[in-house]
Amino acid sequence: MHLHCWRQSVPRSVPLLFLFLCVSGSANGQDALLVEVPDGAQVQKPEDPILFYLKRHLNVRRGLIKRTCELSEADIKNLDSFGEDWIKKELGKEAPKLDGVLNQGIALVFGGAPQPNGANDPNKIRKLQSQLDKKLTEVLSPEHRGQVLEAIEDSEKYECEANAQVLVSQMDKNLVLTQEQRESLEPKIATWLKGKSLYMQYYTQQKYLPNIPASIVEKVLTSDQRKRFNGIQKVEMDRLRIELQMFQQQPQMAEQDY
Amino acid sequence: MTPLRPSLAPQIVCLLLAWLGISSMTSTTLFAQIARREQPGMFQQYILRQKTEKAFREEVVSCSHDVIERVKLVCQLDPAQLENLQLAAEGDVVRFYREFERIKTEVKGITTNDVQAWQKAWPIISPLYQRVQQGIFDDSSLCHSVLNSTLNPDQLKQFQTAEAKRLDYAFRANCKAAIAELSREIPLTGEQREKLLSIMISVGKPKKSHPQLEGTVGMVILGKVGKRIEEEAGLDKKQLDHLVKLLERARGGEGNFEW
Repeated sequence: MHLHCWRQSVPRSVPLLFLFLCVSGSANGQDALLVEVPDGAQVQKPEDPILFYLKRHLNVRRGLIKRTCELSEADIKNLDSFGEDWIKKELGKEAPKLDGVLNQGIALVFGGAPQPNGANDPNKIRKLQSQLDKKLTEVLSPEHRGQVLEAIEDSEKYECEANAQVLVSQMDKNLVLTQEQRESLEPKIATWLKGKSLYMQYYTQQKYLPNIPASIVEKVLTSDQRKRFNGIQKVEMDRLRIELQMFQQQPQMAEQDY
Repeated sequence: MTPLRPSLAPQIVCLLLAWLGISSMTSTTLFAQIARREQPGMFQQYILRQKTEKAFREEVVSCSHDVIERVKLVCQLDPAQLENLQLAAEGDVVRFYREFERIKTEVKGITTNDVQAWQKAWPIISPLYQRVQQGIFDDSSLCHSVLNSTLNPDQLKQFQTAEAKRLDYAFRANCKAAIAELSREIPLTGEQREKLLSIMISVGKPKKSHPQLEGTVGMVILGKVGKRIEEEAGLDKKQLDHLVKLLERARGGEGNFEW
């Protein structure tokens, strides 16, 4: 009886469901192939995002070290030999467990693939990048380490200042600020940005701001500006999270050894 | 009986629900529903940018107030001057909405589904789209010309100086942000960053730009001054090679700016 009912209601939907699975699966495959490649740019096929970001970080950091310190041939050899093995070891430690981890829910039915836990977690990448910095500088002599840490700090400070200026000029569009207000807001926002990595393109294209706490800006703004500031939509767009979401759709620059 | 694993239970329920939903339709009705799915109207998509008309109008009116606020920030306006500027700003809003209503009627009901109608309507909607993108109170606006004739020479100078400072600030910010962006992929020393910035600033800010794309001006300038970077910024061959590849990726944005 049970089986009979099932047979009566199901036959029409089963082929349809099967069709859905086929269509969604093929669409996924098509997306993976359609990667726009600009003329002349050297690109490579997207690989594992964590590995990609760690390798890029390693290359850029090595390059910065070589351009900041006067290294001997032996130092350079030592520096170049460090990194890849560490990355492999660290990623091996956290080997993804695919068995039964279905973290894409119903999407799996429509062509999604099982993903390892935390595969696209920007915090995991950031944590590994900072560990990598630590390990990389440990290879250097104390004098060189000091120089490199200073260069890294300068670079991060520069980025915070640049992004703070961009955000202040975005605020200016909405709040009509004086030059004094702009200059006063800039260092406060730069300090708040420290350790953050925002997807700045989003804020320059939209009239949104990140979640800058009101306490940081309210002393500088007039009461009318404060009201307007509170009315602006605040969205936190983590840069790495967005980049990870777009990772498979965009061609990645070929690896560069500095 | 072995109980279901808790992590899979919601997914199985969703699967069953989806199955039941699908089984209640014939294939004809299902695909007909997909085909009929409403696409946003052309006007909604390109002019209102997915906002309601009320929210869009509020934004336009707010922009008109901002123009006058910027003048008031640096100049003491007498009541007659203020009235003139307010009337001019209102005039710009009225002029814009006259076009807005005309074009809205002309493209009514056209969606991205109807490719032929969309292609025919694009030349009609395009000037208004450009106007919205550029900003309603730009150099060609009534407000701008009234501003020049209403302010006395001292006030005009004060206002122009303040505006230049504001625009310079935004321009410098975008250039610095582009260099910070480069530093993520190319290891740049502090000295190289400063040299790059001074080359970019020396190019000067564009006379005309697309407000929403102002953030890309830094990369566009880097593309323009490739030769000078090679000669003056002190980048080595490996850095230059990678910079060329990165700029190749950002190519094509120059059309959004006019120097």
